[in-house]
Amino acid sequence: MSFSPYHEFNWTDCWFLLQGAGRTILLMLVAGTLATVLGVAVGWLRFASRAARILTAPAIDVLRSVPLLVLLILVSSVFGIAGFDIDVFGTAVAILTLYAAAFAAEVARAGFASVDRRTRRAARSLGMTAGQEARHVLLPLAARTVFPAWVSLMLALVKDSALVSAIGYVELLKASQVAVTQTNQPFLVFALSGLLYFAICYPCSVLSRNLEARMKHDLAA
Amino acid sequence: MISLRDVSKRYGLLRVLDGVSLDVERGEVVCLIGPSGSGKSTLLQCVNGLEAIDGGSIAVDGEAVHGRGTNINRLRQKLGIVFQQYNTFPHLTALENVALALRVVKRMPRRDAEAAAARQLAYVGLDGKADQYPSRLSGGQQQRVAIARALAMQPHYMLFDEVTSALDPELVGEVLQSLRKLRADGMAMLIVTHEMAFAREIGDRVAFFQEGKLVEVGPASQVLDAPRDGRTAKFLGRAAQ
Amino acid sequence: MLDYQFHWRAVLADLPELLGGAVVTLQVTALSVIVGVPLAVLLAACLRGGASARRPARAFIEVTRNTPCLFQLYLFYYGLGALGLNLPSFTVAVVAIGLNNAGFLADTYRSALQAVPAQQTAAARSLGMSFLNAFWHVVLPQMARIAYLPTVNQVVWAMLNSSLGTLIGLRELTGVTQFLQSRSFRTLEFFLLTAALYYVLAKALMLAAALLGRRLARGAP
Repeated sequence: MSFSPYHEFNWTDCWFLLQGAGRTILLMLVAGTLATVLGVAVGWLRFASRAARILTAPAIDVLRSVPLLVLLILVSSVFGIAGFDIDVFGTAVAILTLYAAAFAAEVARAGFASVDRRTRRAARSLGMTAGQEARHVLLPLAARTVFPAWVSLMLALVKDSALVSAIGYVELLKASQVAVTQTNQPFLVFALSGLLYFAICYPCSVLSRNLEARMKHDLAA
Repeated sequence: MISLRDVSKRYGLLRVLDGVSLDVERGEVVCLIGPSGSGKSTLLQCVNGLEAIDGGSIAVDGEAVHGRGTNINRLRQKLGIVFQQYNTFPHLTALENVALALRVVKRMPRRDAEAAAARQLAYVGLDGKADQYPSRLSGGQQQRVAIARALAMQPHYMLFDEVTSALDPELVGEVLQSLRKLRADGMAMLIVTHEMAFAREIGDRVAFFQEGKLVEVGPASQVLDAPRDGRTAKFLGRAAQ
Repeated sequence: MLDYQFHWRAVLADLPELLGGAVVTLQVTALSVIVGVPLAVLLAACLRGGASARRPARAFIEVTRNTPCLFQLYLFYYGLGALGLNLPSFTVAVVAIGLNNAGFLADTYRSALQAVPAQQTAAARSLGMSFLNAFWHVVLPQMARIAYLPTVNQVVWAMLNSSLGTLIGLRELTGVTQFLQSRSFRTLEFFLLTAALYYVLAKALMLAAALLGRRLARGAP
């Protein structure tokens, strides 16, 4: 039997892919949470103040008009030059957060803008403070409107997270590449990782679509 | 001649056309009247081949509309149809609406097609509106664009499907005027209408429809003033109220 | 960070090469749109058809939308490679990004198709037009009016996504940048310039689209 650098695809490889999938989900949870918080904050500023809208516009515009891959390389090179002692996970989270926040800010702004001014005035007329009104009226109403868009955003984040494989973080896609180099069975490995991605993303897209359809229905009724 | 022989059509269990036979000669105007949902509109769509039939036959100048070997696109050029909802093409100006089929179907050069289209628009009294998009035209004007569009193909027969039903009352007159003009020029027409007075004025013959059946057909004055069938009389009595 | 010395001269000297990369980026984008848009129209037509046409179309759309674009690139590049079909990275990028475009546009086109009343086809057919003529001259222009903006956004996405081609060895804008910076290690300068080029390309595409799109708005109420 001749020597082969490859080994048969086995349960260890399978477990390796699952770990990758776990890291992909971890990235989504951490970067998704941070991006949502940052996005709502920036979105609120953009909604409330004209100055903030004008000041933040270029940053958001640039983040949306440059490939994530280029941003990824830029940010990690800046981190390197600045001497940040930060691991690949930290870099990946930072860049994904920044990127997703640019989209989340627009989603949040649209949500705030969708709330009827009269409803908000009515709340104030009952004696609520501005803060109370924001917490009990503006935020819940806005959140309900943009929830489907937000779910799509998280879905996009899962897919975008595949790019951090390029800076060496072993999430699902990088794990599949490694498994391919070890087993030389790209079809099997990619079929498995594709299935895993699909299993993570599909429920999100069905959820987003159903919510959107229901909202249209409610509006029509 | 348009000749319908024992035509039947059903949607599921509903018989929308039930053994209908009717002839329309060249130069003749036949008006179809009857309650809503009695199958009149379906009949027109069948004559044009836009709807299939389940039994019988429809022939235009001897050629079977639903025949296997029939070139329906060529046959349709003999049959102009105007719909209740105008169905003008919103992305084209009035002139382009009329010229499109001339260019695409008759393969006329753009210049000739547009000259012919301009003549048709003038015929229906829309000379000044050639460059307007349908969204800028009233319902009556859109309906006249639709008439000009059908006429441009130089059909031998015109089918009108409740062409004034969707119009505001003050716009009905201008559309009917175009139909009168066509009659004066000898166009053969099959007109589905709810306007009894207009049917009496323009129709050589009137056919009364009910529940998919042709109940009575005859000279306009006879059917409308002295109906032989009780159902016709009942319908006319109700319509007169 | 603060005492970083920017060295632009070497970077700017390589500008012609970067522009050469940008041309490849635009080629991939254009071809992926040429592949994607007609396929999306076809998928949209399938979605409105019977179950035997709808199901495979739906499955294709869900797979393209619920797995990362980079994953799809790898699948075509390494997966097909394992089957002995070694396609050049340019072809893979065009096909993968083109299919991705189709998956993302299909649903938009389906609703655009739905928005054109069936009566418009009937009216066109009644004048003696063939089915294809009616579709081409009457339905498609009205559909295009609705679908134009989403299509333009997808074109910009395709342009940004083409940067992923780098990871399978394509020398488009990002790939050329990667190669050039490895000679001088002026990573930051190179990628800043590249980011700027992407930004300009994105804006140029939007501008061109706005100019072209004027014609489509004809007759809008």
